[in-house]
Amino acid sequence: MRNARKEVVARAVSRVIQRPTGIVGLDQLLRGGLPEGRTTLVAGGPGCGKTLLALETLVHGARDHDEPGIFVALEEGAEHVIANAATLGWNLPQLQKKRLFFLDARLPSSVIHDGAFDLQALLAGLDERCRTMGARRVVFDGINELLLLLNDPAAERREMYRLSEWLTNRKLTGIVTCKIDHRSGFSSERDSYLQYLSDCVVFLEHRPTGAVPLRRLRILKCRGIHHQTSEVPFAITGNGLDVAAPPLPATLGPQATTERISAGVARLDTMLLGGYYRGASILLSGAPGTAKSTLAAAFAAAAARRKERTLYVTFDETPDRVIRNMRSVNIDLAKHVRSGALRIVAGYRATRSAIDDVAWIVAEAGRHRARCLVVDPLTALVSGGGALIGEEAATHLLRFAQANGITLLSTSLLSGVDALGEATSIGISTLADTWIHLSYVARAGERNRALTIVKSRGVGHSNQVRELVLSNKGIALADVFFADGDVLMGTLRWQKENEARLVHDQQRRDHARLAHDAAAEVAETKTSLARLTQELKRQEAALQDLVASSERTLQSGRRTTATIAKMRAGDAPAGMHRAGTSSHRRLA
Amino acid sequence: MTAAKRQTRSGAPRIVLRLYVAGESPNSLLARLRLDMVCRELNEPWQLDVVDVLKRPNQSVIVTPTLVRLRPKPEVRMVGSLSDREALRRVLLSTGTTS
Repeated sequence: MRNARKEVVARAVSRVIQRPTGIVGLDQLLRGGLPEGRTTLVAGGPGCGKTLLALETLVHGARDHDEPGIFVALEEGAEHVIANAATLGWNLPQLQKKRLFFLDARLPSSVIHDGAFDLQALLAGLDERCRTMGARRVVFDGINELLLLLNDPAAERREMYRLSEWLTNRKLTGIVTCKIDHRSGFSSERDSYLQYLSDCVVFLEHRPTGAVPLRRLRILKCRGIHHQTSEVPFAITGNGLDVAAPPLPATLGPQATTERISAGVARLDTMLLGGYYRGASILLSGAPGTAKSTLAAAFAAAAARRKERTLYVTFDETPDRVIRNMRSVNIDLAKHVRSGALRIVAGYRATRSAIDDVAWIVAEAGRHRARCLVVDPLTALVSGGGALIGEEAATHLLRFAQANGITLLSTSLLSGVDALGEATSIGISTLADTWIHLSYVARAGERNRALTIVKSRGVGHSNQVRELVLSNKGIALADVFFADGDVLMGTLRWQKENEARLVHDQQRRDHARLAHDAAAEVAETKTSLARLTQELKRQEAALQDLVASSERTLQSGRRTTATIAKMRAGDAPAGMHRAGTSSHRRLA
Repeated sequence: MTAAKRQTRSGAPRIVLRLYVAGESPNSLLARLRLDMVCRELNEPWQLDVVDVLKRPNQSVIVTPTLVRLRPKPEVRMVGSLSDREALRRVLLSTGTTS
């Protein structure tokens, strides 16, 4: 007894080992996978995908994780289940050879019920099967049927417990599918024990909303695992289930790169300081006819020219029409389609839910190994189930692109012409890294297209408007003209540009003339200067002469006086007394 | 295979039964007991094989106890601890449709 208790405690304390289901998104919600050695209950209404989920877990286990599995069919016959799954490309016959076994465990209707019974025979048979196959995963599909036959709540509990114990003792990963009325959920007492007994409960729902069915999945509980609790939409695709789980922060894909890729229009690249960031999400919004698809195609063509695989998803046109439309602006998509770099696919509208559409886009992108993805228009998703679903689906697509480093460019239809004040219809603008808005500016009988970079995360961008000009030479961006606080485009722009040119020319001429005049003045002054310099020289020379001659005169006067004094040898003039004394002596 | 109860007379008995049990579990024991009682009340010989699925698993047996009436044809299956004596008697003795 003590040993048994110790074992139970030990089991509770040891870490739960998780087995990946292989279902896209589900393992993320579970943060790993289903608990090994425990019972997982998959509950939901009829047709909501329980059997498929359980079967897909077996298939992935058998194929990808070396874990053979046994499918115990208790409600729907084994052949029926296999036939239903044939369209999903799992190649069941191949797996059935060694790694997957289908056991039809339904009690035929001819069997008479008399008294209480239990499931020991089934489990004994499974024991043997598990041993020979080395099975690690077991599915009990449609447990309700069996339990119903027991017709005794106590017995039901006992048998479920027996099953659960059996799975734990053999360390198998067990899935039990069970029908639940989606309206009342687990509220009935009969069914609530199932929830308590299971270590992990996954609840599926299938809600028709208008014309479009909506599938949702939620992990109600998972003991020992810190799972995500949100209710998420899922789709049933051609490969199985695709659950739109939000990615874990750690797995949000490659680090943000600083690589830039061309937007397809040279001037736009310049405005974006190089182009779009690799792996970013870009939104082109605008009213119909504002050339969103054209810009999107330019981006796709540029990517294809770089030999990068690109997927162009169109909801509005056929692939041929897209190619034809772009040829008129000198974008040759046909060449890129031929080379295999570009793939254009057309999506359906409004006949399936948005999340189905996104699952399809994701599948196509994967198949094409796309590095660049264009969705035109993304707002087509809104028609599949309503705005809220469209937004969820769009977010899922964005996260998929981010996680895989795919550069996503989406176009979005806006109902108004003055749309910078509007949010886009599915609120994707807050998630996009770059948002370019295209609009019409109507004036003086013309409509011209304007391009504005509304926002661009991490990129310095010019917040000015440019005119988008389409011609048979291609796409070009032209400067707009500002006059009197107005933006002018088209012919008005041309007019104004012309005027400006004329004014500029006139100014130039004026300047030239003024320069010429000034030069003439300078020359004149220079001449005057030369003349005056000459004059100056002459006058200076004259002055010199004058000074020199007066010197001479003075000198000669003095000499004359001295000579006279000598000749007279008389009284020397007063000034010369001393000097004269010596000479007087000499004379005496 | 555990011991079979036989009553040998000329030829094989009309009623041939096989009871699948799960060891000594309560339901299985009850079924054996009840079956034994009802069989003894029949005025004819019967043949019974008791198979323990825990020792010899059988792929066609889902629940225990399961009683298979091999003879007379057609084969009839009953599951459960055989609590309804009358129903059991009818099954053992009927020769055509299931009761």
